[in-house]
Amino acid sequence: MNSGGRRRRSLWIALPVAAAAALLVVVLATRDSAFERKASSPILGGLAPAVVGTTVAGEPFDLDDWRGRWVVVNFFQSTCVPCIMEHPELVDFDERHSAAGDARIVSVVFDDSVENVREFFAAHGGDWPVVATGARQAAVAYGVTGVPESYLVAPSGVVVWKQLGGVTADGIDDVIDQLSAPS
Amino acid sequence: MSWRTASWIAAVVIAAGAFVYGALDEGPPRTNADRVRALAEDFACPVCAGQSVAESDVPVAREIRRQVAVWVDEGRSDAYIRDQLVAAYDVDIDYNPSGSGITSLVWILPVLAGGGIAAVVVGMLRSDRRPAHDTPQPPTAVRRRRWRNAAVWTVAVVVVAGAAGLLVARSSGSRSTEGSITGEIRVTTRELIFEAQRRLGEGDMEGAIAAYDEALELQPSNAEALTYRGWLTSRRGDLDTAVEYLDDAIAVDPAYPDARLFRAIVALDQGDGSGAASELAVFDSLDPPPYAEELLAQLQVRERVAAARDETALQAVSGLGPAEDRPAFAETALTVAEALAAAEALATRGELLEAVQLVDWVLASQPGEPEALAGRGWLLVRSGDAQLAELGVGYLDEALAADPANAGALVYRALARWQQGDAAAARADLDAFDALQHQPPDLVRLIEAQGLRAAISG
Repeated sequence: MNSGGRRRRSLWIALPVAAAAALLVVVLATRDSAFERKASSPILGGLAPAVVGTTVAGEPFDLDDWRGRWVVVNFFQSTCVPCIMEHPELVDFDERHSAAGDARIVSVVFDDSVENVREFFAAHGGDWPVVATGARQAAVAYGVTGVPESYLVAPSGVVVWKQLGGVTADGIDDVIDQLSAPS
Repeated sequence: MSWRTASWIAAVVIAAGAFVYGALDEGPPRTNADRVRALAEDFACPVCAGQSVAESDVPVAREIRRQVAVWVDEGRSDAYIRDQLVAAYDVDIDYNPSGSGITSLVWILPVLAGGGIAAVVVGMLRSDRRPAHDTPQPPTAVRRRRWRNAAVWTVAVVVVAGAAGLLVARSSGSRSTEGSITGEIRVTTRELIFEAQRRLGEGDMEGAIAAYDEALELQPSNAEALTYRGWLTSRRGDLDTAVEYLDDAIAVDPAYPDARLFRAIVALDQGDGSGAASELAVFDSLDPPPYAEELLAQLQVRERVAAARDETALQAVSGLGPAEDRPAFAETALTVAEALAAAEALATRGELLEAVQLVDWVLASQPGEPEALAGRGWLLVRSGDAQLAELGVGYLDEALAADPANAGALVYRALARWQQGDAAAARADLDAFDALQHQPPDLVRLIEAQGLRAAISG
């Protein structure tokens, strides 16, 4: 075979391989990084997944009953240090809004015992519902990967914000203010 | 190569392929547990590097596995479970990406690449063959015969391959005329648990374990099977594995009293007194059935839990140093309940004076603390000494003055009054206790153990 034929054959082989490789590079380059995907969430912008169950106080709980308020859905564990560190901030946030009733917190137990959680709240304060039964379904529905992890649900019932790690009362209020501001 | 030879080769290849596939393929999952395992292997642990949900033991993977088990037992389809997990964790969790959107490229790219390369290879081969322009065309009759032969051999290949498939299906399956259309599930989970209980009643622990295992194969999130599998495992001495079963049972049904009871007993066996106390407290809040109470009494679980709790508290107090060098109670991290538990441990050892001194140490920091006053009063009342008992009633009076609804003080004073022969006063305290919104179970048991109600009813 002459050199022109070999070149043409090499070109035929190289073209599809190069096209496939280029397509792969484009796909990878235009996707979010792993960290960005983790900080994001497919449930953001959608209707909040259900949080239905029984609290550690034995009361029934349904997130839908709180439609019309801002709700912080906080996944936590009593032995996790960042959870202990963020707890005073949640207490502060709850105190700021308890009188007006415009924003509330619901904590959801993640891989922990009811007794530990009771002791945790007795020691660290906080007087909001803590869902124990039904907590696992909620954690999986929200795509929780670790604790603490919090989601802000708007009065419309849509998940508008996600926080990996501890929250602050000011931080949540800032988000609410920004989203409540007239456009 | 002639059409005949090519067709026979094709038939042999297809038949052999079908037999190999039949031999190697495990087929669809036969039980729910198989399905849970298969599904867990199909999803990536969201926080691990290169581990599936089935492989990882981080909390989030455990929670996903448990939820998958619940979905499977509810009869949800694989597609439903996949949709739920992808909706929550995004497509990255799915090891088998869907055929839509950007992820479809994962399937399309290899096909495109393979097709492109194949086209190139075919093109190269064809370009190497010189067209034989001078070869005479065969007559029409010959071409027709070739087409007919080709059609006949194609049908033959399909028939052989189909027969091979049927043979594979027969050799892989074993459904009899009485078998169900869905396979070989002979009995329900309920029947298997009943079978396990029957075997247990006969003392056949291994048979019972096997029946529970079979039940869990059918329904991995069955709280009863998990609980009793865990309990039997603990009786065989494998406490760590028992804890895994029992924790799974509690995760599935936190309100199942048997799981709480067995978890408390296993915690005791592991030397974890506070863990046992926690589980027992939950057990008490669940309105447990009578047989569970009987088992509790038989194994003296409450006594062991109380003793373990008291000893742990006493160790914490002892860790503060000798009584004379101890910092003020308010400066320690101890709670009043822990200090009273430590005093109880001392009283149980017969060291009444040290017990009273310990409570006085608490009262020095918190003079009007009702629980401490009630605890001090009770230590004196049960000393057996009439004078000390009268002194104890004084402390109980103080406790009730500070907190009229103090359950312990009401019961202790009722017992003291009864011992002193004042049945009417004892009855009044008992009535006040009964009128409380919540009666602590340990005090209810104390009243029963002392026979107080029967004694003052006349």
